[in-house]
Amino acid sequence: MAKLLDKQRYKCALGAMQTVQAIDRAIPILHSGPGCAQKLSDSIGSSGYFSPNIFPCTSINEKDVVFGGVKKLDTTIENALKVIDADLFVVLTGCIPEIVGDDTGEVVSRYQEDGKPVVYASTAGFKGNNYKGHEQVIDAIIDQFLEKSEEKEKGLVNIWADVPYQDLFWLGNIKELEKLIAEIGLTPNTIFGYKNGIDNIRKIPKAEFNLLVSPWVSLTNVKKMERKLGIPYLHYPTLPIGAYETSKFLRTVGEFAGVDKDKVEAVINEHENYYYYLIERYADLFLETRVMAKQFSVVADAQYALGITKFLVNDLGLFPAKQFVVDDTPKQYRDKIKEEFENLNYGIKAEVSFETDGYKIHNEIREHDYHGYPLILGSYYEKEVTGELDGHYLNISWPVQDKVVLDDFYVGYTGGIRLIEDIYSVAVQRFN
Amino acid sequence: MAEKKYSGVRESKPGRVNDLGDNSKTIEEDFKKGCLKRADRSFAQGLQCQQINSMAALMSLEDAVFVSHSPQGCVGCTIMAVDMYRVGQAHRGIKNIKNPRIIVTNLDQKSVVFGGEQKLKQSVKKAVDRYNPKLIFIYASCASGIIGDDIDAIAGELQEEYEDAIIVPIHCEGFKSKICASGFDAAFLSINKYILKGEKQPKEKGLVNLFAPTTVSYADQLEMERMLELIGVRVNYIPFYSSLEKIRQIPRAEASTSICKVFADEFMKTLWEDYEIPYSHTVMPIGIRNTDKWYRGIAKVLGKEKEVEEIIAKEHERIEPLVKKIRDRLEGKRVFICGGTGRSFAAAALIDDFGMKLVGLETPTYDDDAQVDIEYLNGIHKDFVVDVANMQPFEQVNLVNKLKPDAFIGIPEWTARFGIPTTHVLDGKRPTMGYDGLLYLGNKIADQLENPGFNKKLSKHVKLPYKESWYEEDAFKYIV
Repeated sequence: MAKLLDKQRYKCALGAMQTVQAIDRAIPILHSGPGCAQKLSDSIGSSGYFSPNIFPCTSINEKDVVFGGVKKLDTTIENALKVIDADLFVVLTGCIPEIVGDDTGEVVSRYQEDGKPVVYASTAGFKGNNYKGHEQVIDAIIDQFLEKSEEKEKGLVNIWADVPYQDLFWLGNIKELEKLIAEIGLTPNTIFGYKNGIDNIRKIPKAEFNLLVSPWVSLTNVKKMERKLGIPYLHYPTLPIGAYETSKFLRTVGEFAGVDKDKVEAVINEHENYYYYLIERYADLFLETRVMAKQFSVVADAQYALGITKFLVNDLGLFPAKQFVVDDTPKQYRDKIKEEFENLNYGIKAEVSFETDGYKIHNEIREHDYHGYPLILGSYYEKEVTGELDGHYLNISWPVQDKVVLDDFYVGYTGGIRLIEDIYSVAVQRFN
Repeated sequence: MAEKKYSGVRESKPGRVNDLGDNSKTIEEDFKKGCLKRADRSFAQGLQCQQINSMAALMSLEDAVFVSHSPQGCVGCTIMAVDMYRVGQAHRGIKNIKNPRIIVTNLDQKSVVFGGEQKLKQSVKKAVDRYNPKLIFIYASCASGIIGDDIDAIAGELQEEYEDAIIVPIHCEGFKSKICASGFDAAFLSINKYILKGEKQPKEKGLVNLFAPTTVSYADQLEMERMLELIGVRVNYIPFYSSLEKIRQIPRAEASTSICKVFADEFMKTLWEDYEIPYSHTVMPIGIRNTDKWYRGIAKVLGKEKEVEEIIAKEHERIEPLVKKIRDRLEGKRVFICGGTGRSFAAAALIDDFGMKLVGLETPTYDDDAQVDIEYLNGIHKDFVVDVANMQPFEQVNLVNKLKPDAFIGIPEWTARFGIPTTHVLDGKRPTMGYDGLLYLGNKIADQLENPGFNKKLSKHVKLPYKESWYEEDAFKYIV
């Protein structure tokens, strides 16, 4: 049974509307109750072109509950195709049509038979959270839009990362991953972000492999693509932040793709030189900032909890207190992720808790002795508890109210530097 | 008097329509003749649902826990309430700023089949164990409504078990109404039923209930309280940043009024019927005309007509020269307005203070209340287009593109992309209301409209997401 949630860290499966809007010129059509789009929207940037109030919606009323909303869905899709200028329409279902039993798939299949770019994903709120919804949307695209390609493009790699908008830094992260992959001589292909739309979706089957950079999100998608489209995959479970992990990441990808070792090492060398040039200039700051405890906790989804823990331990020399993974990671992935938390340099192991209950998390943070003012990286909810403890707080996970991010990122060498800037900008504001 | 009990669903009121578009004069005539038809849209964009309003209305109450009996997505909007609550505390000088306590029962596939009663019971138990609150609000959702969970019966059972907290179930299922303000009514119906319970109390001279929705800033609260204190009133400000004690004071008031046209308007009727508290229901006090009207309304109920006229005369003397300065900057500009029921009409009245002309008005519902405003507006602005719509940006951009106004007041996202200067009358954190609010707001509007640079640049680089052919069509084509 799904647990009740006190201080919730994610949205429902219909939150996948944000996955759709991260695809350039793709728009969700919601077959749902009237308020769903607004409830699931954030103030952390729309797609620009589309925003939740633009999304066509059937806004199911009492009559539709009784008699079914299929007819309304039909006119909404039909007219959306006439009014909205988009490349791909993704019909998403909310709770009501799935409880009353509307056959959404049947309505959508009629448009598909006419060659219209419409797909459908089942995303009822009661079926799971927006991590699941995200996977459902990608599955829908694979199943309803793509076909196996015999022709492969040399060096083409599809990159998959965590959930757009749920991840505040999704745009910057994906762009930086693309850049790094391109530097070692491969051709990145992603379907999310600037100018990454339907053409990139069409390119997916031609890739030599899928690169998944996430502890667990989209693992089912890349497996499906392996089965259905014959694309092998490389699963890199840690979001590489900072020099240590990013170099390891590039070596792993390079080896998997058969890239010349010297080429990879040359790229790594150049990045590490500049990275340590920056670090050296501020080494005093890191060595001498006594107001910040050496211990920290991250309260975030698996990718940031793991990625940031590795970075702060392996690169910055901080020490992990308990870490909290709040994305309701499916049980089958937890042991693997736990192993990663226990695989830190110098035999350091971080205790990790897969916990969705904010009340319990806050009590644990309160009760732990950080030996100084703690560093807490988490959601907006952690602002209150960090305030109580006079700690240092950075809003890095959903919900976000404390940070504006246009295309900032934490991934890679540069991302590590950005995270250091953010953390120490908080620390230096303390004058006592 | 013995009418049918109000259900909380705004559509239940005869003559009220949500889907309509026409010229303001025609609408006025049609409404008089009783021939506005209740339509629907065969194509529409997302709305706001009433559950959002039920939540927002109460989430700043002290010592309360909010239990959403729903799947996990329905509390997606509450981060807005978290922000408003935190800002409100900061403005009120509270040092240790708290988050509201929000629990979602997380209805899942099993609950859909077997019911969500157990989950709700566990959530309420957790609410009591963890926070020991005085109030527990239970919000119904689309899913809980359709699967048929009887939240009233469950709340009744839980109430016997937990005597120290008052448990208040609220029927705010999203699909029941297209008018999100219904959610306010649902919240107040439950407050009456479960907290006030029809028990009359002795009246306190000078005590007035002032009902305020989520979007009223602390600065506006202070201005309203200042004005009311001038006519000898002690304000019971609810439900924002208030408490169980303040709610319990409601029946002791000598009179009631509200800051918004669609907030507590139905509840004030109930307060008259159940507790004999007279009330004033007028307009939102934005701009000179509306502020006067609002002020006179409550003064009349209290028998302070003479006093209020003296104060109004003095206030006018004080602010009119200052308003003229703003008017010099804004006069003659043609304006399109989009807003909620209260603010859209208030903005339409406000622009007359500044000598601006109304060319289009988008408002969520039309009823006899709206008719009063439209008659007044038709008297000053020849004629203009009225789009009765909850959002529907596709209709808005179609109209704005044809009307080419000089300025736009409301949610700016779409009109800004035409390069048209945009501004607003809604600010939940800064002043907009009363005589002082008018000056702050007016100067801000003038500053914003005099520099359209951002919007102009934006329009050169972006395109709205509609096909060119849509702009040639009748904006109201899909209202059927």
